[in-house]
Amino acid sequence: MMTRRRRSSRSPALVTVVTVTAVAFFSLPFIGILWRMPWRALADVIDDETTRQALWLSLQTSLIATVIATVFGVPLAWTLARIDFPGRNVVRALATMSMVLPPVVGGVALFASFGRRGIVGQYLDQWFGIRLPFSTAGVVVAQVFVAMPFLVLAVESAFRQVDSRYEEAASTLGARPLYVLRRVTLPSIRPALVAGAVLAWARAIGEFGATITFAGNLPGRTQTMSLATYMALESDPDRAMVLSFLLIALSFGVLIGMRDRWLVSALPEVER
Amino acid sequence: MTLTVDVRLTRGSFELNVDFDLQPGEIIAVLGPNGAGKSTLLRAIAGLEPIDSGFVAVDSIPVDRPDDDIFVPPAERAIGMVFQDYMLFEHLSVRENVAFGLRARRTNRRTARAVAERVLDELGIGHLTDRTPRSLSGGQAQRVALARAMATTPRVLLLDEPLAALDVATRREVRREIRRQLTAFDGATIIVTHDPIDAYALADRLLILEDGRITQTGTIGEVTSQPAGRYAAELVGRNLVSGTARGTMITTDQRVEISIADDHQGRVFASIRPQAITISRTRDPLASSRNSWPMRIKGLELLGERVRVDLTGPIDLVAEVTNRAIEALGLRVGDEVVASVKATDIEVYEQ
Repeated sequence: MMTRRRRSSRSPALVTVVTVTAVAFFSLPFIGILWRMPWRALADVIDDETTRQALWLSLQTSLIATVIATVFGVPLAWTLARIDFPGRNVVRALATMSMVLPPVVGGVALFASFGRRGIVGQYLDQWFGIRLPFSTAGVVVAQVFVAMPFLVLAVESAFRQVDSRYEEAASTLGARPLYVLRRVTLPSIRPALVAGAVLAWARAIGEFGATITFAGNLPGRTQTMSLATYMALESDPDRAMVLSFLLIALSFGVLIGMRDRWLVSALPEVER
Repeated sequence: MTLTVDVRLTRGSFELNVDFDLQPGEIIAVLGPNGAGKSTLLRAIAGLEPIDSGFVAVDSIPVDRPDDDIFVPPAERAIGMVFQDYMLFEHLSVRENVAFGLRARRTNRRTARAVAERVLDELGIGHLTDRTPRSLSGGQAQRVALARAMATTPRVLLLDEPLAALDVATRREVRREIRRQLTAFDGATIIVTHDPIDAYALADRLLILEDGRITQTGTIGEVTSQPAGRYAAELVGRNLVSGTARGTMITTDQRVEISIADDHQGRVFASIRPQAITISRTRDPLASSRNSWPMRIKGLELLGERVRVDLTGPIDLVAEVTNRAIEALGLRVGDEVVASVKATDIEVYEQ
């Protein structure tokens, strides 16, 4: 019998070199921050009131934005995946436009629509006294606007991949469409839903351009971590390093936590 | 009438055009080649595939009748379906799978679970209640799927290839279990299968579906003795003999002894394919066949390159041989011959 060397696990030298370069490119910026980190200043910056405000504001707005993006994004994704209606491609393009748009342009567009003189904004102001620009709610609006497409795309493709026979089985058992969606379809796309929500959250917490254009840069109200970091870079580079470090730590922690808890495992849901 | 079907449905170049009905408690097996429309028929009855014209009625109440704009969605039809690959919900435990239908119909959780547990116990799989579908064997998953469909007490039960995915040993066991469940079931049952043994063991009546049309329907005895058309002849045109087995010997109701290969006890069916029967002019003492009987040729029927030979003797048999064999032996109606069959060519299943 011929013995063959296992070749499947070996990659061509060129691919290895390119891969190592790519990994270096991705990891060096983090190493750079750690290298430049003024560790002495860490405690001071964290103790600072503006930092705490920015951190709290970022967490708060990004989580609210993720919830809103999920609540609106999941039905939208389901409709795009399952309902064949005229203009579906146009709707999908609109729903994902903000993903390819420069965020500043997104901010300008929000200003033109939800601003005090915008087509919707003027009535929000006149009728309800709601003014979104330069408010914390405006930050959330900007974040939802840029983050929702990530969730919609991830969830739509998952909806398309669901084996429709499970849904048919559920319907023959007496389940109406909404019940099927809630108890069969959504649980089976949970990994994609969580992944989409994490992507949307990451995009929301990193949001800069649309926020500063639409909601401004008011400490305590609209100055999120990203804005605070950018501002600090001009006046106090050490502070910018610390703020960046905090954001990295936060994002990294969430990614790792999510992956282990939700993305990989497919534990059965046993109703309590 | 529990189920009345008079359905026309076109999908692309395929056309389904069938018409039949089922009495309460009746079990019908739908047999047919791949692509004959067996699954489409089940889907139309379940409401997963709207029909183009005609109607489907459960207990004489139409659930699909395009002419009158009647279409009751699957969820509101009292029709249960067991899918070929079971389609158990993987994120739910066995208990929650079986309770699903009741929960969907707004039965409270406690009652739904109690019913689920009772149905599982009845099927002898009460010990699987807390398991996940992924941890089940094929035979167990099949029974859970059946339990899930039956827990909602449907009027009509549709089984799509219920045994196709199982190995031979499990098949026999699950077949017996399904049979036991179905005899206690007072609604109508349709079993789609491509295996005539499943049909014989489970159904009262056969329906042969070919290319979207019913080519034959009747009791098992009718179809096996007088198959209409090539497919029916090949698939179900078998010799079916009932008798009592004791070890490797079956004594038929006409007191003819038949040797079989494996041990069996009690009432059995012996099934012999017409192609497995050899015909000779005289008894060959050196032949390996354990069974040979003197017979008289009652009829000869040409089926393409082959000839169906109707034989009468201690038992009545149908053999199928080639044209050339008939010519070589010079066989004619009325001739005395010997029909032989090897013990290993006889399939036996318990009644």
